[in-house]
Amino acid sequence: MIRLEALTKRYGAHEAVRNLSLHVPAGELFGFLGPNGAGKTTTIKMIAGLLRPTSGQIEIAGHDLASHPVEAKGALGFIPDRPFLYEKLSALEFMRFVAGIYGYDPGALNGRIDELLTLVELHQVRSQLIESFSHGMKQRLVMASAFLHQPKVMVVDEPMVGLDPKGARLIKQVFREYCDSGNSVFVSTHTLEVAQELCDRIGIILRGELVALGTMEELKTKAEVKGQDLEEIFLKLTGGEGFKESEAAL
Amino acid sequence: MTLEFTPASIAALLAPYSRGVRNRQRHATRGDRLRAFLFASVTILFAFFVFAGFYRVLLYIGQFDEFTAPLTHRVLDTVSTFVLTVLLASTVVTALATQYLSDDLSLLVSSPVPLPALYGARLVLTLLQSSWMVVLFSVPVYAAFAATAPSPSLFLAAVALAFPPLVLIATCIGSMVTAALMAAFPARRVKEMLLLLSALFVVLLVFLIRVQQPERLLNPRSIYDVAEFFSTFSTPSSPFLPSAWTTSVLVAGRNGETLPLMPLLLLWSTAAALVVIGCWMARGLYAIGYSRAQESRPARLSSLPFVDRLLENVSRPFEPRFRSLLLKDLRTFLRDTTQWSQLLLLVALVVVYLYNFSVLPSNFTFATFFLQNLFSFLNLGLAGFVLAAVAVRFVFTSVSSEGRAFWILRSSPLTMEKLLWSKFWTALPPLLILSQILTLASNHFLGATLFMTVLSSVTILFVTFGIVGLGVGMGAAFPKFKFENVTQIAGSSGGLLYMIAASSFVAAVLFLESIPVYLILSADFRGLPLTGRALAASVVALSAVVVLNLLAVALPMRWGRSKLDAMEI
Repeated sequence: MIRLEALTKRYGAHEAVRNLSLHVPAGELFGFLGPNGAGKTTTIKMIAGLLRPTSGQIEIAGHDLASHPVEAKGALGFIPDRPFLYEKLSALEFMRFVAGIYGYDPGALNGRIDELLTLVELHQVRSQLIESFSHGMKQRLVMASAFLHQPKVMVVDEPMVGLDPKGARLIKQVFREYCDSGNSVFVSTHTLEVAQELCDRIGIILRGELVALGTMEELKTKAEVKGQDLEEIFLKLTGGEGFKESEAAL
Repeated sequence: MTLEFTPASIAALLAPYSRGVRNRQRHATRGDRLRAFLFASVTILFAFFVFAGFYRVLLYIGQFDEFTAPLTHRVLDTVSTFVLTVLLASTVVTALATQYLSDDLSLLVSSPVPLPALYGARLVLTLLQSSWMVVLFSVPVYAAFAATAPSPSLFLAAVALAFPPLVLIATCIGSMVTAALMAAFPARRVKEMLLLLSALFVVLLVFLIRVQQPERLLNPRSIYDVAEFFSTFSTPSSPFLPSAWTTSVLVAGRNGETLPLMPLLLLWSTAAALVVIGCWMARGLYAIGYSRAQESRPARLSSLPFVDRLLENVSRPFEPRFRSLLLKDLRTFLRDTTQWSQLLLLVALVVVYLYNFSVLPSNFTFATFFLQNLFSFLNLGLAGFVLAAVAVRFVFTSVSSEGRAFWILRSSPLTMEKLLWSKFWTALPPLLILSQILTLASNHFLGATLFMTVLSSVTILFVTFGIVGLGVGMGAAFPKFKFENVTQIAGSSGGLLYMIAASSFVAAVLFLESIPVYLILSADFRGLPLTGRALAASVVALSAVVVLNLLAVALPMRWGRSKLDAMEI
């Protein structure tokens, strides 16, 4: 569903992402991990069409993003880490707006809009302006709008930011069910428990390069770690074992 | 370290701003420097006109011995009252942003900064932001008084002593009004209320000044014209008003007399007392007001539900993508007080524009055939310039007004081309109506011939397409998605470039069209038919006008689209 081929992104002399290749098949929930500044958000933004790769290729549901952006973006749902929205629209108006820009007649999607707003528990406040929503409510609204056009691929940047435990539980459940019905999720996160609990496969990026890729078992073998803890694997693979010294300095 | 209410503590709290200004200067781009240069040029030109106007009036007043003293007093009183009133209005709005809504306040309020120090620092910031324009206006005015005074240095000393406390008093009172409002009403309501009131205030001021026909002052028929003009703006003077204290000091300085001590003492002691009272008030009310500013109450949906229904129904025939963007843009515009209140200013602009033509000398319509047509033709240029000024605020900003939510469009299957054409077709109809009203009504007041009226109407129709195309295209080529207020987008360097491009475009259209207009009118005046050569020249020139207008739409739109496509967010 998502295919990245030799993807590179350069900002002047700095290489944010270097020669990244991976494939996320249908039905897979893929976790993308890495320390701050490793290139996770840059990769996600390239997949969402917000950044242009310096070189390499991105394919979404069989459509090349560079040569067929409309088809590729039509098959994609995107949930960014910071939900900047049109503050002067109500939640319901925003959902209808999104339906419109994806080419649907909003009236024909009324049932689905109601269903999604109910799912993210915003149906009661659907007529209130977004400017009065909390961060978590905005995040849930973005999530509902991303599912509106029934995309085959969902790309999510830090899904748990600003969500309460109930919202977090809901997201995990929705993503799992979504993948079980043959779609794919590409999720970048700092929350290792989420990755460990949810993801079928995990990729770890460090300084723009993919340093590890595989299931939990495969990563454990690669990192030569005995325990079941993803944190330990992550720290070993990203050279973060020295954090205890930092902790002592604090 | 504890920060008390001392100049050093206030300077420490203002350091991020002063360093920010210094850093901006160090890292200024070519666009920034161009903008600064243009802004400085316009300011100097404006200051020169203000100085020249007042200098002339004061010289004129000086010719009438018995009227000179009372009239000078009246003019100075008008200036002081104007400064006090405008500053009060401007401070109330500015204080809302600087003292309650600014992003950096969460850091300062949560840190152990004593309230008096915070209040003092924010008061200085409010004073600087709300008074710079009034101060800039006052400099040429007082310079004109100094230049015509028997002792210019004494008058300037009077200004230096009596003007700063007046500015400080206005700032303190304005801040206190905002503090009281914030403690009593929700922040959103206060913001909307103040923005609306300030827009109405500006409209009222524009009308008041224009209706008094200030051009009379350049060539007054009698001393009564001058007296009548200034008496319109003077409120009944009261000895309790700080502006009256300032006036009495300035009048003494103007007359070369010893400066009176009492009003000076009153001014400085009142300013000092208001700073202290403001501090006390801040101790009691600031926490309540700031807390209210953080509360997110359910915002009301449109207060006019029938407008919403109307928009829904009117937009129904359009295809889903265009309809969605149109509805979103219109709803956002109508629900944002900073945006729709600008319509009041637009109405004021149109009324003043047409009023200018309605007060032309009554014998104007009997002017020569040549003059009549010349004015009608030049009016096209003026209408084009007014359209560009309106478009820089409403059309150039249309892409940038997507703001930080632009990611929604970029990650969707909507192409940037569709987005730009949607913005184009949304902006075009209201501007077409505006341009036709401006042209047809002004031609009516000018008594233009049918030929010129039809020509103006058709030309402005084409020019509107060009101005909108330039606005949408250049707005996309110079986007500014991070802004606090939409008006900042129009004031950006891209906005200035747009004004230059749009004005040049209008000038080019006028130049090309002047050829057929001259040839046709000359033939008409002589009562002869157009020669074959003249006809050919006219057809070529008019075709060039059409091509120029098509290019003014196509080229900027293509440029804007390619810039947006290549943009990374």
